[in-house]
Amino acid sequence: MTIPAVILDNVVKRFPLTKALDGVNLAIDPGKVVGLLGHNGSGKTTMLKIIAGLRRPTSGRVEVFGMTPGVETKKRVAFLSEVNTYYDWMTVDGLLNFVKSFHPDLCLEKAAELKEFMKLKGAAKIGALSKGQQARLKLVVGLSRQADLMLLDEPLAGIDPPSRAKILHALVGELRQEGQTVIISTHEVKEAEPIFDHVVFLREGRNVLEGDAETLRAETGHSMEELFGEVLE
Amino acid sequence: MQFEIDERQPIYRQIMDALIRQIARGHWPPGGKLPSIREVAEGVRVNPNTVARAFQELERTGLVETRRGEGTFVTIDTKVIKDCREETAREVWAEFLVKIRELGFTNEDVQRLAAELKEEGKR
Repeated sequence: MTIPAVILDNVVKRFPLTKALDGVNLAIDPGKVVGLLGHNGSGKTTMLKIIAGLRRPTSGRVEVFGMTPGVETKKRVAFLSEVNTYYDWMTVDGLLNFVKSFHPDLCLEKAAELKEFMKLKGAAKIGALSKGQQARLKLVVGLSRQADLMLLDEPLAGIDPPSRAKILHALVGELRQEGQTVIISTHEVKEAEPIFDHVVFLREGRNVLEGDAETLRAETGHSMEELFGEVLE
Repeated sequence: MQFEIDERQPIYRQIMDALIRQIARGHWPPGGKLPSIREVAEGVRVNPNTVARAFQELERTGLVETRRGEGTFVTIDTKVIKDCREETAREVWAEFLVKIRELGFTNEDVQRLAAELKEEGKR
């Protein structure tokens, strides 16, 4: 039997004033493309950070490739935050070399391929990039890592709608390494609809509906976009 | 391969049905090589995992076989293709009958219509 890429067993995360996650149960098989779907404030980012090992759950069990998130799992997991955390004065290539210094799995050849796809110049200053270009840069950095598990928090935010579908398809197609597991959080399901193997609908910190996208289509006769409206409104 | 997908129905099933139709009409001949999973995924604009699932299901029907490292090929057993073609035709016919009966057509009406359309086709 294969070890699941991610297991969440009754995971709760409390903050002083709120409960971000309220008992999430989940098992993700390796190699799947997973849609983590929910409105803002539903707990998507908290869940991704817990899987990435950047936050600890208040209670419950978390396993990533059979291990508790920590030093070992962080080598195999790439987390792309929604918030931009790069230095404005760096150039695109400077940033890639900088990231490589603490993530040795970053592949500069892959980065070159990605820069071309995203139409970014290596010599460009990060501070001079547009919002959309910064969003693309984040994908270049994240996807250049040879991580077994890729966590993308709202990767399409800031990217112009006509490019979204193209980038998403490349992301699960030619740009994805063989067997890589990808979890994408989004509240915009339309463009992402045909790329998910598995979907998790998150509402107020609970996964109210979850399953294989094709099975859900067969059982409900609805698209994921329609289910999003039905389950989360 | 390119077609509009219906996102309310399983996508792998739609890809599988499209390939069956193409094999049935000889677009991919017996023994011929099917496009790769990646090619189909890019054409239909879906996740390659979904296409892989369509190929696996298709393999179960015996219509195609996958040779490791070489790709997926249409069977050389023409009887399997012929049977599948007939079976698919029956499904299409059954769907047609459901729709035409909703209009209140009897079997005799259907035969009359078929004869009329045949006459019109000759003209």
